[in-house]
Amino acid sequence: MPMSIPNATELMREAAAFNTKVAAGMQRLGTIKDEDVEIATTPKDEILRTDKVTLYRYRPLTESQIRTPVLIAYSLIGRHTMTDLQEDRSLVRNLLNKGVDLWVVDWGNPSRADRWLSIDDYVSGYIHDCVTAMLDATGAEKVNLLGICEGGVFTLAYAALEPTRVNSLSLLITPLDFHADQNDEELEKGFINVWSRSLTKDDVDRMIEVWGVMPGEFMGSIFAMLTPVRSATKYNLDLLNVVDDDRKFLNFLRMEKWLSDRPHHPGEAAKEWLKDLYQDNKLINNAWQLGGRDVDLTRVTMPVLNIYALDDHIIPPATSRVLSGKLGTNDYTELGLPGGHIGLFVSAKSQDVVGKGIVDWLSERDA
Amino acid sequence: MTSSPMSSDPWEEMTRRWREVYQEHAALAQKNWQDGQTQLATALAGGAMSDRPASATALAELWRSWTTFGGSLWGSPPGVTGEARPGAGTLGALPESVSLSLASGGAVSDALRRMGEGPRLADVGASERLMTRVMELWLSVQKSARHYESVVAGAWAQANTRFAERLAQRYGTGTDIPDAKESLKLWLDTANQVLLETHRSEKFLDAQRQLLRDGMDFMLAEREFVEALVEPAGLPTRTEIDEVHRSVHELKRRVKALERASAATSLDQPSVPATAATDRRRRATSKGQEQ
Repeated sequence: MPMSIPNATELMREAAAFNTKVAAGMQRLGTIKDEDVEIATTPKDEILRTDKVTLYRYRPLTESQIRTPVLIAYSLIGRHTMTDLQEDRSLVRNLLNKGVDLWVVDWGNPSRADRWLSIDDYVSGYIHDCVTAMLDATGAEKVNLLGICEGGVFTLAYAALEPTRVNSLSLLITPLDFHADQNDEELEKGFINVWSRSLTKDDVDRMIEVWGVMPGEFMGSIFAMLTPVRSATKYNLDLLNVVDDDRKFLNFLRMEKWLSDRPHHPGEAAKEWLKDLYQDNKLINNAWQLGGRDVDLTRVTMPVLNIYALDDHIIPPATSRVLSGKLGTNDYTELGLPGGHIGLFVSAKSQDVVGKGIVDWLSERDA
Repeated sequence: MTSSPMSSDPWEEMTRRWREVYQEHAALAQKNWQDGQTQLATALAGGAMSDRPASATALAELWRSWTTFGGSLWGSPPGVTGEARPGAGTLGALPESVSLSLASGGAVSDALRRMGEGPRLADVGASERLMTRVMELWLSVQKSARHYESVVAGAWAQANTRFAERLAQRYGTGTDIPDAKESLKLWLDTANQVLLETHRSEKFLDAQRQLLRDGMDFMLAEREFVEALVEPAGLPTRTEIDEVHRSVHELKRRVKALERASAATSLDQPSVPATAATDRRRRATSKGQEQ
């Protein structure tokens, strides 16, 4: 029987079913405590603490296969826990299970007191200290660096500044040519590039003058604009769709826990990130300096693996696949994988692909 | 809105003007929203729908999502009574002092500007001038917030209209008529598309940038005003604390450079055997030596 809209009886019946589902969901939510939603549970030990930065070494899960230790450096926007979200969706566990000696640097929770930290403080300071600690602890001559997103830029800069200490460099979902989104413009991708270019340098300076940091919640609101409807329906349609499935529900909550843990970005480093890179695109043009030293890409002489996500709406693939011919090495591998910026780490399909790809590549280049 | 001289009670006058401008903007934005709803209802009423329970459920979800969007656009935050604030939900994490907005008034703004730009006499009325400047900038925030919200509201209205057009087109041809679940998807896809287009438009980016600028200007002036009040009382100010943090940061840098240089010097002593470990430490300190 055709109809224009549901009649009153159907609406009431459906409303009752809906209310039942909401009530069940609320009851379920009420029984879950924050500690029940665990993320980043893979055991690790603190090796170094300097200021708010901590270096951890993961405990091995199997016999060592890669002798040179690997340091994961995540972005300051977000937290490294994304790489170890849950036991069955964990790049960390996938690497450990393949015999990697894995380390991770946690940038901590920068506050306004950390306003003056620059990118050079992270690269020439904290990463350098972490690498030194790894060399001292393991007796290795060099380390493998694995940089993710902004952390990829940091590790690339470190590799250019201290090439003798780096055995190999793996970049994941890393922005490199910050203007390349204009060559391959897709509506769903690269809004952060567009937004950053819409500001003047004075706008950026004033934000940091006012806030001292780039607030995590502010960056969260910019990220929400990348997927406007998804952001608007997340807590009604999406949540209700999973609330009666324990496994999916907990997956949802784990992701929410990670999303809600969005640290502030130190002010000076944020100014450099937005002005020098997003606006002036200095990195790929070999015009970037850190602490008075040139970040010269031709000094990156070690093997480089560059993995990007084909459906990445935050870091458009066009901005990542740009290093060919720019480095001081011919051992350069570029790998585009299905998935999005976060899906590359947490989707079920990625679990066997990313970790295996990295380990296979590393094992051929182990010192 | 026409400007008129301030009354003898400027605060009462400002409140009245804010309310007027607010109501004027809110009425216009709500009309856009309601027009979109009317078009949608018309389009829905003109088509046939499956009576399968799943479709009924999905259609109900469509209406819920519709009202959810409306709610997020028009809803008042906890504790705010009276007229709803258009666009409040879309302002995201912009500071509440920026996004919290009532309305602006040209006459009020002009009067405040005249007060702020009056002759500056030493030791007379400094705090009043600062306060006036804060108020003037606050009004600028309200004005740019209204404009930003009107751009956002326009995007939602466009989403409504485009969705209604697509539905009407399908019903008109009698082919490819979506059931309720497909309609929900169509609505979400349409809204997403329109919003993405809007976010990249010059109009939106200009409005957002202006809101950000006015917000930053306001907060800096607000800080200056507060610091002018607390400094004579011997209380620390934000500016002073930032200076202290900067000093501490620079001291840390110097200490780390000295530590590295010191470590390199001690490792270079002849009594220390040249091992791989010392070579490594020497390399580790190379940065310190360069500094």
